[in-house]
Amino acid sequence: MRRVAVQRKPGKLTPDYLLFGVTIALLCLGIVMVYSASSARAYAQLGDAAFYLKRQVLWIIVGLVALYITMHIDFHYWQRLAWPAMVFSLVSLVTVVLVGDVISGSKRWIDLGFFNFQPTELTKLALVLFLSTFFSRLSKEKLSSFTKGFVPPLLWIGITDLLIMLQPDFGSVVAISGVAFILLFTAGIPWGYLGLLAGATIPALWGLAWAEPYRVRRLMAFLNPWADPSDTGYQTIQSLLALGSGGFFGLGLGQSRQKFSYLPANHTDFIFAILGEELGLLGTITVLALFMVFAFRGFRIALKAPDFFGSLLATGLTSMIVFQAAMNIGVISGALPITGITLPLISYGGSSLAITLASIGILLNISAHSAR
Amino acid sequence: MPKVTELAIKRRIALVLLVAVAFLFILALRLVQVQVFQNPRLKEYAFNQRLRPMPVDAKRGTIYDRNMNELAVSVSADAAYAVPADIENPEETARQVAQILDLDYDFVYQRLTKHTASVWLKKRISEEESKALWELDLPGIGIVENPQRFYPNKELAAQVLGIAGIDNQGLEGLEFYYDSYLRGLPGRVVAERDAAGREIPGGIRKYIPPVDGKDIVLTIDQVIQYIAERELAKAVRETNSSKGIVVIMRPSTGEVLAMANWPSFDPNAYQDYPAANRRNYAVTDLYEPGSTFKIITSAVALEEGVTDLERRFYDPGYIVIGKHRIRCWKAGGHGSQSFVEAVENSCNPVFATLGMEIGEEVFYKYIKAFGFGAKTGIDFPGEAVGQVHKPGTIAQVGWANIGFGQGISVSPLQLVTAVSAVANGGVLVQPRLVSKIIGPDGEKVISPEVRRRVISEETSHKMRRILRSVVVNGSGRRADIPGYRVAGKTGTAQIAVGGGYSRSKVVSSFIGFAPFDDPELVCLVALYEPQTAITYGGVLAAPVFQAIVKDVLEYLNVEPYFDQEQALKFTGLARVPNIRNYPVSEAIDILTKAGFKVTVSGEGPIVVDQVPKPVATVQKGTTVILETSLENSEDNMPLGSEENGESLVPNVFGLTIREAAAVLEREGFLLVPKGSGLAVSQSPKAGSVAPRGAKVEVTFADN
Repeated sequence: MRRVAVQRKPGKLTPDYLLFGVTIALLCLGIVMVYSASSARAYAQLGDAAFYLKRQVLWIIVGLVALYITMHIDFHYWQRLAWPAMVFSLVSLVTVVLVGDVISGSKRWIDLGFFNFQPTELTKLALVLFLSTFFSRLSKEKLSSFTKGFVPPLLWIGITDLLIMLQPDFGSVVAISGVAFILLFTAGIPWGYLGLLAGATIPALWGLAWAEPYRVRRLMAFLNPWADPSDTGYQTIQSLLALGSGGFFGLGLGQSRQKFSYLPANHTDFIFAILGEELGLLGTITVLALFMVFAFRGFRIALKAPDFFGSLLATGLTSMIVFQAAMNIGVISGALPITGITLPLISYGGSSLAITLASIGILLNISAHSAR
Repeated sequence: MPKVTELAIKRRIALVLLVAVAFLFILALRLVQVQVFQNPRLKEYAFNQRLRPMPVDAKRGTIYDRNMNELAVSVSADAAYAVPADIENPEETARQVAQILDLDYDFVYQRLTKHTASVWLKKRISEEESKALWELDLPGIGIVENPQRFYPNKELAAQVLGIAGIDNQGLEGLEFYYDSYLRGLPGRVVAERDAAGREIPGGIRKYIPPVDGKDIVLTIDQVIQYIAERELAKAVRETNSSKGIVVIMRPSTGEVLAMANWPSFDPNAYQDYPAANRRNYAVTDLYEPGSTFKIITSAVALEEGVTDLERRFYDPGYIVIGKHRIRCWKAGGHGSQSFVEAVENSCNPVFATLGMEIGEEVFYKYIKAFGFGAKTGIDFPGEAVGQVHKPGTIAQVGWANIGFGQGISVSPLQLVTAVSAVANGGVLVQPRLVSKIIGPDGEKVISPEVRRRVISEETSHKMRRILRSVVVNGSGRRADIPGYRVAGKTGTAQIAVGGGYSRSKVVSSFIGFAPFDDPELVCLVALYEPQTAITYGGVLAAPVFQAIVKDVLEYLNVEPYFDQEQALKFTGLARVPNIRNYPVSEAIDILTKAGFKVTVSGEGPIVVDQVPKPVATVQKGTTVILETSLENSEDNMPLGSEENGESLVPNVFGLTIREAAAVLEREGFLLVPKGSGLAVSQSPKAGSVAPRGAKVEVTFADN
């Protein structure tokens, strides 16, 4: 087997078109669903049915420009930004806790005037980049070292989680920790350490949830939402009702009944429920299939990446998107506790959508360097 | 390519991919489960959730008395509700609403923030509250008309009617028992709504009007109920009793004409009264019937041939059964007496003997047959069963005790039903409170129902005469009503306290019926724990019975019966009324009504004499000549008049001194009283002819 490290000049890239196609397909579904889910409320509250649609399209354009740019930057370039990006993220996380706008009980956004900046989204990207860079610079011996290969990244992950927990944003903590774990695993951290980590994380998460009783109630509610249909079980029930009403073919585009304010956040966290109601099992399985193709292609890029850094980065970026998608769908189908995670590429997202698209741009750049 | 991307790393990446794909695949299965298999259930739930409207309450049915007078009606009142999604400032809104409606802030706030289309805040709000809310015009707070229950007669039959709650649901009494009829079906505005209660564009829309509740017609007559409550309240007050009960039943049909409990309450404001006032003790309470139960013992003894009317008993003042010595209430005893006299005397040793002689098996069988120890089946919730010992479970002396009404617990209604059977010819009828249910599709009439024959017609006939003689000659004299021939039995039962009986706490009662030969009604009066020196039923309860039954029978237009008149009517003869000293026009009126023709002689305004003379017995239709005079002098007064008219001496038996005086005076006699109490004998005898103005000597005695 002949291996050729392909280095092409920008503009002559042959990226993974299938991954790109899947991305565009999800974005299109997202535009349609954001409009369908939000128009009634937007009209009632803001007098403009297309309020969210316009912003979604705008951010997709911004995101696609970002994607175009990152796709044309050699991904190795980002190694240099790993440290500054991590530090910047942590600083903005501290800032958001201090001065952030409170939205439904959490501080997640910094108002920058022209748009609301959500540091958590940037942090996800920064941490993936940071860990990939960190591991790729370690020798095999150091990777197996407890103090040099295992503890330092764990500290960074811990600090990040802690700061996000202060907002609080439980869902993001789970997503970030999950992806970080995948990176530790992929990088080759010995099984023993990972087992130790898993053993330590589960009681830690448990304790965290118990520390704040509302989280316990929310966590437990998904198991039997019908026990308290008007309070803790409300959201789970409403999203199940939406999904379940859809049946096989759905009620038809725009025909959702549940979107009439039964479901909270129906164009963001719960958009998949509306999609299931209007497009039925056909629609939901299509979305699932698209994410499955995304996973295949993303991990394929990781496998074929020209170097260790590329592999790790591709794994991290792919995981981040697929992991969040799975969490969101799990929440909406009542299989996971409600955590407040959006569905990447489909939910109304603002700046986070742009960051996701930028990440996909990086992924596409890695794919262009693939070993043939 | 660097060495670190070795096979091991690739394997790990592949493993991550595998896990991810597996997880997505599991999610796909979950989606199939939710969207395909749970689809029908979830779809229906979602549909119902959207259709969940503000219910339109049905108008609750009216409760009428037997003459269609309204006893409980539904009238409109305002109710305040909230649409949580429309509320802009829950804290401030809750504060204002709580203040105006006099509600708890936390309660209001919690309702205002509920995840529902709409919630009730308070029903039956006053006009001022309603106005204040209108003026504030808070977003998300509204007022609608909502029917509320109103009891126009307040306390009248309150425990029987019961109460209905603010959600149009019966809570107690007949309101509860007949709730399924009275309630009706709430209406709905069926429109698909979002969580905020706004209609969904293009959704389904339909109005389903409420089906009003059915009306029920009681067997109770509000006039009779009123009479019963009036006299009962007076008696409870005067005797300082803790409570009192009156039950009036038509013995032939089991219809309850009145059921009174005092103290009472106003169902329009039932929260203001102690909960105990709301209990219908007549149905739900148990007590030991005491001597009134001797009616049952007597009936059984006669039916079973244990005794006949003439059998003689000797009462030395006590009876010894085994190791027990049962004393008669009268020190020294009643001596030798016939069975009838023993009932009149309410002699405990005799009834103890009868209880033993009947035997436990037979006695038990009859007690059950009379309906004791089981629900009567009346249409009222929470009926008491009572305790009746089974044969073999208590000592023999126990059955002796039951013979005179101790050691058995009954509800007032059970006793009235059983005595009805004794009075009506021997059949146990089903007691009931409702006679008709009227709906839009017609009426359902509830017919009288005979449950079983308990004693023979003949025994019933004997019992009626015995109980009549208890009133004429025995302890029940104060219950008698001239013309209505009351029969009945007194009872003074000690209240069982712990294992024994309280000396001071008694239930003073009288149960009787009238007229005795064809009873129109059976009536029980029971006063609990009267605080008077004498607590005998014959002294306390019998006069209450008399006052009630007299008014009730008059109200029911039951013909009074006077032996002589009755006989005269039968032969076509009539007695000429005494119309001397009456104005002429009035005299003509009286005579015409009595069936006589009239000729007037003279020009005066006053009748001075008449032919035939007063009280003469003549053929009906005879012409009576009136002599008139211009004068209206003292001489024309009937008393002490120089006329030598003669009159029939009236019967004053059983009357008080004042009543006797009035009766004698009417016929022109003078009363010479001896002793005090009730009239026991008179001279000249009733029915004899004596000169007008003659003195009639009447002996009065306490019973």
